[in-house]
Amino acid sequence: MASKVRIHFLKNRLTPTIIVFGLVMIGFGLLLYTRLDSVYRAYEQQVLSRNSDYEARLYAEDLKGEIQKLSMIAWIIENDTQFSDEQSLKVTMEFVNTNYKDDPNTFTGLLTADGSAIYGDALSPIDYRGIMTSLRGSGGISYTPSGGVLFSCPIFRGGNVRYVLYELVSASAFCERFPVSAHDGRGHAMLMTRDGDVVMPFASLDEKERSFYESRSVRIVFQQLIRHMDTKRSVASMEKTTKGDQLFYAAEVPGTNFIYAGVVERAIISGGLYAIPKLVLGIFMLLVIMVMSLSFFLLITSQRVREGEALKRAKAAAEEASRAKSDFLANMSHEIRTPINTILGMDEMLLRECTDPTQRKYAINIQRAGAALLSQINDVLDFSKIEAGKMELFPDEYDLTNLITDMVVMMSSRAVAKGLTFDVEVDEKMPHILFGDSARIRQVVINLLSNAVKYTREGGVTFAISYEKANEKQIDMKVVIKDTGIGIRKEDIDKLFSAFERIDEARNRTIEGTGLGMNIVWKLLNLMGSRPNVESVYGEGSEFSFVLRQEVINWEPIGDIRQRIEELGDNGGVYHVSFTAPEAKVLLVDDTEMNLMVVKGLLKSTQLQIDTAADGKQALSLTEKRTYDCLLIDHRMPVMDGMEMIRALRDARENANANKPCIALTANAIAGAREEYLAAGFDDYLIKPVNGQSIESMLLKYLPDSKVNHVGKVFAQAAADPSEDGAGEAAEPQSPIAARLNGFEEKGILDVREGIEYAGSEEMYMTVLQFFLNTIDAKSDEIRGYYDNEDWENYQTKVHALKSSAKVVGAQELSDRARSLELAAKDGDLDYIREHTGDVLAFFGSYKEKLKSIRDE
Amino acid sequence: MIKKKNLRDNLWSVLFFVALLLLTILMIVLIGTLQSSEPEKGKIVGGVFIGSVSDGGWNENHYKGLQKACDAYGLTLITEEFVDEKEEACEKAVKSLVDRKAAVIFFTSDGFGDNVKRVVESYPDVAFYTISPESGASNLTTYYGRMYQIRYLAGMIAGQMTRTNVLGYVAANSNVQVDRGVNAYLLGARSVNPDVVVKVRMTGTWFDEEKERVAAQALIDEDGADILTHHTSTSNTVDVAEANGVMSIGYNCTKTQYSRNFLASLVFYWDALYKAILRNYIKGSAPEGDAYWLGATEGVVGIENFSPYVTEAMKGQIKRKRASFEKGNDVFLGEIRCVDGTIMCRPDERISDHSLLFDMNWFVEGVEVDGE
Repeated sequence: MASKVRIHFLKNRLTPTIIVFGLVMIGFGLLLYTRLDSVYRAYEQQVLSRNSDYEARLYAEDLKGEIQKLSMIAWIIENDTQFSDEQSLKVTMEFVNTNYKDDPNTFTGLLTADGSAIYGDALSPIDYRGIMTSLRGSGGISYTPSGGVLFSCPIFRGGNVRYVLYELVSASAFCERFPVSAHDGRGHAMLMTRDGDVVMPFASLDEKERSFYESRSVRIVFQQLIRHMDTKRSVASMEKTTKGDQLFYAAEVPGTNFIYAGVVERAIISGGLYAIPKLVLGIFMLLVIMVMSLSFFLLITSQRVREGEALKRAKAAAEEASRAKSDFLANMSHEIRTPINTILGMDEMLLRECTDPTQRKYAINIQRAGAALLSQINDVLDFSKIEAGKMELFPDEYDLTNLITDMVVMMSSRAVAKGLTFDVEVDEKMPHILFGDSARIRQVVINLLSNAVKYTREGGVTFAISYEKANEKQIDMKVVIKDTGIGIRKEDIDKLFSAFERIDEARNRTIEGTGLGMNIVWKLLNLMGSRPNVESVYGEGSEFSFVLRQEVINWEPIGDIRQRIEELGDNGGVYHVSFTAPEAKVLLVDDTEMNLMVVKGLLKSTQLQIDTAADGKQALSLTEKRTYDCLLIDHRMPVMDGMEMIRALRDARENANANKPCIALTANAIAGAREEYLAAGFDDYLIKPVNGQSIESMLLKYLPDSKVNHVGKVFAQAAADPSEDGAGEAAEPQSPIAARLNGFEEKGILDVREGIEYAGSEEMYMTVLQFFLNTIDAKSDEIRGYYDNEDWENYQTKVHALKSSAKVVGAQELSDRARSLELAAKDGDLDYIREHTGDVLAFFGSYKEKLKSIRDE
Repeated sequence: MIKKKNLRDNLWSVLFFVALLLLTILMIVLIGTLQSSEPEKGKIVGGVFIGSVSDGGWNENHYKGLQKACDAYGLTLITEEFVDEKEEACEKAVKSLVDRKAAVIFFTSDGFGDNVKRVVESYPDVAFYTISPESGASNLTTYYGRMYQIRYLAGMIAGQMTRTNVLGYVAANSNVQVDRGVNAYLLGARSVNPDVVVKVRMTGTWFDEEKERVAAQALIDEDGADILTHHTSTSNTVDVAEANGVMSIGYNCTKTQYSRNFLASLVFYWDALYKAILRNYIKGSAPEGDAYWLGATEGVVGIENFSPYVTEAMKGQIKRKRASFEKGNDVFLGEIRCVDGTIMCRPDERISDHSLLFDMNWFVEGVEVDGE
């Protein structure tokens, strides 16, 4: 999953976009940094430049002070007449010079207007520009590397220059008297001329600093600075040096040829603020990284969300498909069960009444095949229920004896038929009434037992039940099914319980099965809080076992169960009447006449009084007239279906049947049906196909005991001695019924063969036929009534019913003509209906005459 | 459906890149505004001229020099021509230049004098420069060349070449600039020929061809001058001299098709001076003294176009004298008497720059001014 996300995410177009965005942002960051840094450097340089200009001006003021000192002397000489002759001037100058002589390196002098000396040296205006400046009438400061710094000023007479007074200070004395101060007292400063001569070197340097400040490269930097001073009074520039970032500066000293220059560490100027651009860059990059991380995070998240949605959709689709599959399975099984219902029902009646051994054998085979088919469909149904999570347990009291005998009777015959031994080992001390879902236990055991029988070719199957007392109320029932069959490979054991998995397929191809059995076992046991345990040696046999905790209702031991099994075993599965109840009244509601016939046929031996109704409405009206002991109601019917009817019945308080037991009959075997029926008001339900045993035991449960006569262990002897009965019947050439029916056949009135096929037996056919005959008038009237009222909907239903019932009795022509009417009604072809309804009804009515011979049966 | 999806995807891409482009532009603009802000000096220089800047004389010389200096410092020159020296015209010209953002304005004629004082004071933020010695306002600085040095050298030539010992001098008006030049010319001539006199005729205006011609002709015909020179904007005096077969010395005269009688030309190299001024203007520095007064040493004034009549010996003499200026032996040094005999400078004195620049409204003994 993770790697898939990553791959997706690399393929995504957004990723390069984000990367491009990131690169652009990083570019901006660097640009911003560069610009900010250069702006800040420029600012530092500007500040320093201004500062040095200010320092230089201050320094110029210092120097001007010296000229002013000279001017004072000049003023005295100018205004005092006693200095008019040269001799007295010389004396004065001697005095002045002595005063200045504090410093042996300072000289004073006095020049005439043409430049010749009266006192001191005659300095040339070419060497000292200051002399020329003063000759023209102003104070001047000039410098010569060989001499020193010269301060000069004119002495006037009137508007004309009479003398020039000067003071020459040697370089060393100048350094002492007019030291330059470094920037803010920090760093180092010097004084030089515009030509690059050093007037005053950097002061107070240690050895290391000296080598740096007097190096060639530092000098070059200053030369470059001076070159920039053509249009600037002061300049500063930042240079990377061996001492780190250093700011160099230079400023003109106004009124002189001097340049005030110096070096200061960057940190001193900026006070640490120079880190700001880096800080800004750092923060910017951090933001970019955060934005990019966020983008990536969002990208991944959105990708995940998209995939999550895809998964959700896929899951929903899969669930939908699974549900559709389950529904399909359920519907299919329902569709298949309905015909099986008929097959098994008819077959059972066949078995009851047929005594011919060959035919019986066929019928038994039909029953077996049908039962197998039914069980497989049940497997599928159970599986779909479990898959849908709709499988529920319905625990109840049960008699362990019955359960065991049922299972043994069912399975032992199969084992014996296959030539296998079937041993039953039941702990005699087992408590005999327990509480649990016996139906599911039975299903699990039957599944395991039938597997054991299926996969064992020789030897036998052992079925063992034992127990351990868990506590005062519960036992742990242990069931073991052991065979000497083909066994299971170790690696297959895990596959054993998965759905649709049939292990060792090559060897077992001939063995029938859905592959669902073991999975159902596994799931049912899980549902009951247990799990199957398998031990197997390939080729030698398997042992399946499970332990179920069951509540005990009655601790009375079951004793030796084998005798009972043997008793039952004699029966060999032949039908017996379990009870008779001639007093009891039962109402049977079903829209299909066939089904009514079948159920009535199945219950014939119980001698019950059975009323029938074709829909809920009819049934309700019957309930108002008679009181029934039990009502069997089909679910799907026209006019009023079973659900509507039960609600109406339960709500009709004055109806004597309002609280009578009602049992739903349905082919609707899907999961959840039970709840639906119970919720609607039914007491119980029977899944079609119903067989004699299931319907009898259901009725036995709900009919009042007073009306029931238990037949007990009175088994029909016919099955035990088939030859007798069969011979007896075979001796009789033709029953009176058959003879009469044959008459119809010969006259071409009815297709008797087909009628009997539908009905299942001649006797049933007779009954059906009589019913047909007796309802001719009523049905004709109904159809005519709807025809007269032009109620085509009900008309269509009725002609449809006529079509069906005519077909059932073998009145093919009538059925076909009714069908034509039905189609016409469906298509709205009223002309056809008007033209033919009368004829068809007349033809229908003619059957009253034709079948007159059976009317009084 | 797929097309639609592509379209939408592409739309997003396009939107993204447009947004990125906008962001880029925004960022670049934002970063671009991060400039170190050093206050910039005004870049526009205004020149006020009394005549045309292509007059082949004074105005053109100034204009070319100023233009050259402006080019050297990346400044733009704008001009106002034919501005008479009256206050009203000055005010109009200055206003026009300031309206066109001129930060520096030069008055290129001596005659503007005090007439500009009021208008200069009304624009305290503009730096004004004038060649008049009258510079009463704090934002007005005088600039000029030490032409008197060159006049002295010209006088040395004329003094030796004259036969009549009368040197003719056509001048516009009597003022410090003119008087100083006349005095220097005389002193130069007398340094080689003590008998020489300089006769001066004033025209009363800087450029008037007719008056100049009349004055020049009068100097030849009436005063007996055999060498003429002038201090006017145009060199009509030289033309008259040429026409009369009389020798002449030109002043800011750039023409070259003259006869041998045209001995030399005295020239201002204004660009050197303007460069010095504008350099200091950009720096914000003040001149060394009261004014920008640069001379031969700085290359602001010179003498050129010597006639073959000027001998190598004379040229050597001139060269030596010129070198001695730099040693302090200037023109107005030693005893100098005024026309009325008053001693203006004693033998052991020299006249200070200040006096030369602002006070020399007198003529040295030996100068004869017509009508005085």
